Amino acid sequence: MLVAAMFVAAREASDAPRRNVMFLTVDSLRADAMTPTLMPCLWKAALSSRRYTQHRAVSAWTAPNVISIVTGLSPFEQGVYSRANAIQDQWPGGWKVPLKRLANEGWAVAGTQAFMRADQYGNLGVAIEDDKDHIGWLTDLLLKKQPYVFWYHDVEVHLPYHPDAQFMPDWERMLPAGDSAARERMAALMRLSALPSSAYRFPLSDRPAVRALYEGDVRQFDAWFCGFWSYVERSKMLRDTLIVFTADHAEELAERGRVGHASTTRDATLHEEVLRIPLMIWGPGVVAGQVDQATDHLDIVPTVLAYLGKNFSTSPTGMATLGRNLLATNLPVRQWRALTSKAGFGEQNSADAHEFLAAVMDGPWKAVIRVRDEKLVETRLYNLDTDPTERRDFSGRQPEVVLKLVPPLLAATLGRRSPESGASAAAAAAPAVAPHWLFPDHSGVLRYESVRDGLTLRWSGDASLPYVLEYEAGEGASALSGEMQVLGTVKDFGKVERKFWDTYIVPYGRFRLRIGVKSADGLKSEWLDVRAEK
Amino acid sequence: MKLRTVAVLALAVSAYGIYIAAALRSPLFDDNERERLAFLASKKQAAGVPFTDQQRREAEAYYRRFPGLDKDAFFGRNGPMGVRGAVEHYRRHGRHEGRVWGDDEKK
Repeated sequence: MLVAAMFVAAREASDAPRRNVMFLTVDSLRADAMTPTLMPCLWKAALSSRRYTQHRAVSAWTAPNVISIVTGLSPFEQGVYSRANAIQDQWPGGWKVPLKRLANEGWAVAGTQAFMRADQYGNLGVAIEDDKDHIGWLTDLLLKKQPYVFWYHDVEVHLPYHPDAQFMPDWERMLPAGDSAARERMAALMRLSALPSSAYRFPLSDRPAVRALYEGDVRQFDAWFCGFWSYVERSKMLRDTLIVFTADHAEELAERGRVGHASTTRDATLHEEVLRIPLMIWGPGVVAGQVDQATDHLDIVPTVLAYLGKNFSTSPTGMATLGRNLLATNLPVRQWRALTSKAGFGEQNSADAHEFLAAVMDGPWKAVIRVRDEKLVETRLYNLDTDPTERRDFSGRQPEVVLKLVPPLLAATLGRRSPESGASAAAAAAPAVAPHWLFPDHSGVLRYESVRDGLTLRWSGDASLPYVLEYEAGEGASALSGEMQVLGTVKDFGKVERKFWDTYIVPYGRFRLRIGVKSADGLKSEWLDVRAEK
Repeated sequence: MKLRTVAVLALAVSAYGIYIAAALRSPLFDDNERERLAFLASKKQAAGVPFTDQQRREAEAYYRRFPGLDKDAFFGRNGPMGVRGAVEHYRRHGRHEGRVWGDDEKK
């Protein structure tokens, strides 16, 4: 009996759950959308969280922010300046991203959404397990008592703003009577996932309707969150899981004529409306309350690692100011810096950005610079205490502040270039024949039903060679084009969710695709014309 | 001799103490834990995690070898996990009790 009791006790001890982490990120969610009226479920849950009211993004589009959230890398260190780049796999001194180190120590580190396979999310240490949904994946791990780090990214609030009927506002009533152009702009807002600022300018009179449609999506997200939070409570996840809730970036809602963020306006800004986002943390031992000190995404990984009892470095170069443990009693002051490109849009080569905006804050002052082709072309200085909407430029009247803030920011911004991708770096021998398409093998209509279980492009050729996939999508002002580099003859986009297909693919309508061998000019397939439909 | 008796008793008390503390947190005594596991099991079933024909045969074989288990409210066929309850029983209890997992035909 004694031996049996000791055996069982030892087994119980070994079954003790290890600490887990979940990153829940919401695309484009502004801090000022966090109200009890718009988000009753999130608001109620937030009361038991540690809430950070002065949290800011570190870039103006998704990828650099997500990379900072899950790796702790500053956008000045990442090298991800377009949607075709990923962070490098090998870092100086053998440094590894924290999630890879956790995976090596036994944590299951995963996301379940197919879009996470996109180039810009490569090398983060997150396995993509899109054969399960997020609840199925979490349930599996909780039952197995296997420690995990899980990332879920919700896109409900992203353009187009087209909430379901029960959340749809009476937006027409909010527009000036007889303004047919405004109605056309709202129709675009409800249909398109990108509204390039060169084609869509939203006057201030559009703001109430724009805001109401955005808030419709926010309400719809909160309805989803109600269900998710019920799962959190009933599964008692918070006994051993730290949940970090934040947004990648916020959203312009016609404050300056644009709606969206850098990758949808095809423009870049680092104004407060695109930076101010919520941050909440729940977990064992986390004391509920409100923190009004300035924080940013670089603080998240150090907080997570402290919770897990790990002392991994979050900077491979030492160049970035390291983040802080946000759950510590005393939070030292740290300077916020941000860097953004236009996500590769509006560049001659979409994979190689030539224009950057960078910003830094010091007390009430916020300096923003624009660097084009390695030259400083614009400097702005705002005082957020006296001018929180950033309408007055003080750079001419406060030269000493400019002199203090701008030179170090400029030095950090110069020399930003995207690293060569794995595909482009691979050695290549020139083949003799051009590749041709295997799937799709002809132009035509592509419906959701044919890609729901996975969208995989295939072409003929040597699987050891690097290829360049050229794409053109959409028409008119919303048109985009670019290229992505692929090693081998398959580009797997994974399982496609209905919401993703309807939000990001269908609005573009027409796609043209061509594949070519990277090292051999002229060896390209015919253009494939595909029309995406629901 | 006396010292050895005291040491054995102390060890026994400690072991039983740990065991009872763990037992009180187990689904057997802890309603919250039982409810939590049932909830997760129902979610797992709803999520449709693939269960192969081979796994199903092994689960049925496990039930056949241990009469009564298939009627258990939690681990049985009609429990919240369905036949997956057999897998869960083996994972949590069977393997520690020296029970055998596998298809009858392979035994």
